[in-house]
Amino acid sequence: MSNNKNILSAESKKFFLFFYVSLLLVAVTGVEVVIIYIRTFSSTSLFVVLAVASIIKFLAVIWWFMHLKWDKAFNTLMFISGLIVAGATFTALQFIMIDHTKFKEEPAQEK
Amino acid sequence: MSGHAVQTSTGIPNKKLAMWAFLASDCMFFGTLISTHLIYRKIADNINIREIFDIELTSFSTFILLGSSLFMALAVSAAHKSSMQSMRKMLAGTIFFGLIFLACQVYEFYHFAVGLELTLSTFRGDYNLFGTTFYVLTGTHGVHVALGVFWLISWLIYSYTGKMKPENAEDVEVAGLYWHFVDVVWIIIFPVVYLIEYI
Repeated sequence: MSNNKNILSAESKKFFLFFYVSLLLVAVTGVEVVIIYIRTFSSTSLFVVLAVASIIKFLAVIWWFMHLKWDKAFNTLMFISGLIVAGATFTALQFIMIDHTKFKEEPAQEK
Repeated sequence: MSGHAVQTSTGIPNKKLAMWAFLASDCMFFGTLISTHLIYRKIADNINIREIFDIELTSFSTFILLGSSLFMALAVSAAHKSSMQSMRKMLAGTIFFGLIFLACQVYEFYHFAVGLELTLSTFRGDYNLFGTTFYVLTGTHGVHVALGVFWLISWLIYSYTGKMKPENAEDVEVAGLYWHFVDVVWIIIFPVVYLIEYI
């Protein structure tokens, strides 16, 4: 009986938390779209804002909506390990292909 | 519906553990798809990508998917509280928003393919591989959304059979994990594929 009360109490708190997280996600996405429209920032600033906004949204969803905040740390470790491999693959591919795109852009020199 | 957790050696329910393992592997899958898209996009220089994309539509889709994530989180919460009516409403909301997202994607693909003549290997008749990686990346995400919608529909139908037990709250949570992951992937795709062109 007390266990049920605890579950109800915990879930009721989560109810409002989910609303706040959702508002945060909508606000951050709004910022992303608006800064692209007004185009008053430099490319570097835009890139930084978009990167930070994406990271905030990503972390908010996995931490609260996907319950990592309340789950065992092992789940977080497993997911992060997948992210690290994905990130490493992404970075490696981009670096490998930098040479390829440079090769394409520069005309071949005559011997 | 909550409670009755099965004891496992890890202390984590097996279904949930399996879902997290799957999501970790799916991260790698989408990581390679996004990488490939960015590389081919850099090489495809005979195409003005700004002319193709419709940021208003994609922004709308993004807000819809974020809204669906809220509904899903509330559905899982309702399942744990054994509030069947509330869970059904929230699942229906998630499904509805998921279907709107898919409809936007179908419209976008149709517009690109028929209106702008962007096929898998050509753009307005000229050889171009931009479409290949774009369709594969966003299409794979769309398939994930479609599978999620089918999964949630099956839970909604099951909830009306009267066979739903307290243990099933965990199953709804696992379906929720999948749905939120689909949202997380779109959170990355939206700036990396669509917005980056305007930097």
